[in-house]
Amino acid sequence: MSLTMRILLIAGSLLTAFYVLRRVRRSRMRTEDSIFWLSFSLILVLMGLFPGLVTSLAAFMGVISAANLVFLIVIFFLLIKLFLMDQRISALQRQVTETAQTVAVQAVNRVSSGDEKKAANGGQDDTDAGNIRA
Amino acid sequence: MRTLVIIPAYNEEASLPSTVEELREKAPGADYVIVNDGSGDGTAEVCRAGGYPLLNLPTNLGLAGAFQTGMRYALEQGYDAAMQLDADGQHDPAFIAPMVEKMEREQLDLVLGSRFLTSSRPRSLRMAGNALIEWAVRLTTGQKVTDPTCGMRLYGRRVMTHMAYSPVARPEPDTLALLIRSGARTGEVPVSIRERQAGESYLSLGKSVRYMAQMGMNIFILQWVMEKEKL
Ligand SMILES: Nc1nc2c(ncn2[C@@H]2O[C@H](COP(=O)(O)OP(=O)(O)OP(=O)(O)O)[C@@H](O)[C@H]2O)c(=O)[nH]1
Ligand SMILES: [Mg+2]
Repeated sequence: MSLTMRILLIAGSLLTAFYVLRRVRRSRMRTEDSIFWLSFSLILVLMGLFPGLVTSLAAFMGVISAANLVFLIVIFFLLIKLFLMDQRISALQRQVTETAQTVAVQAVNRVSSGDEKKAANGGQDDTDAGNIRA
Repeated sequence: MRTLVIIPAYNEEASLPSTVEELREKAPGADYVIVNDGSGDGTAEVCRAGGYPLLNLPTNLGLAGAFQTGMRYALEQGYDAAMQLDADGQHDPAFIAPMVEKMEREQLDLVLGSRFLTSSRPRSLRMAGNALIEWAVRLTTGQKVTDPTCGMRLYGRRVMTHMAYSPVARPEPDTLALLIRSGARTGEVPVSIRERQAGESYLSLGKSVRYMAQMGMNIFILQWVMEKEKL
């Protein structure tokens, strides 16, 4: 592995870790989401610091150059992340759909029942749905 | 002090009526609200039939999101304190009064129910996890919290804003540690927690292990990174 590549690996992952921790610090990112990026940058740093490890692993796996193995590992991680994100997007999509549909149905009830709004709500007044949107 | 009892409920049609009945009986006059967390069963219908005050989430947000909904409602309705009471009947409403009393008498921000103030901790895998979290909380906050995973907690006005509006707040030990580190005055009251009466537990073995790993990680490591709350 070239020195440039090692420096890039180390610098890139340190920057990532720094940025992630800053977001955690400001409650912009949930701690469980930060764990992926923190371990990812840890592995990149390790690869940058101990290129011998990568070289011997590459030889062992029959990968031609250490750099190729680095790419392979990074791609592997990104694929996992992509897969997890895909799952999460599906869940979010379902939630948004459900929420939008509920809001639409409630709005119709409200318009059509007019003054009987309270009765239609089963006497629940507005605690039922009104407050959630507030 | 006006206190709201928040009852998060996810698929709890079987135990909800008895929970509410017991609450009315043992804590008469207490205000309460049920947060139906997008249940697939008849939880919402049970509430409407019984005339229980209900916040009806259209989709499942998980306990944290559901409880936070209740917290926002409590703040917007001007309550001075709010507490969690599980819908599954494990929390005994008889302990609400002593918790509220302690908060008022000692001017506290947080009153935590604890199973292990008066009796000692039984030996089981789950309790080992509980002990580990206790240790982590003590290490990071310098305070002994004898039962950090107990869900029965009373939150005072000064911590309610964080609970209601922080995107990372949840009724779990990591948030607890953050609040204590931020200067929340904390006290404990002995409570007993019952076995589940009906419905299904949310914590399978796999989830318990994940929960432990997450709490450990959050309290030990990321706790130091988080900015303290301004209470
Ligand atoms: N499982 C689950 N519970 C939720 C959710 N939202 C709200 N809750 C409620 O949160 C409360 C606590 O959940 P439980 O499954 O009893 O968790 P627990 O008491 O820690 O675990 P057990 O001792 O096994 O009952 C109950 O009143 C649930 O109805 C959710 O998304 N999932
Ligand atoms: Mg329970």
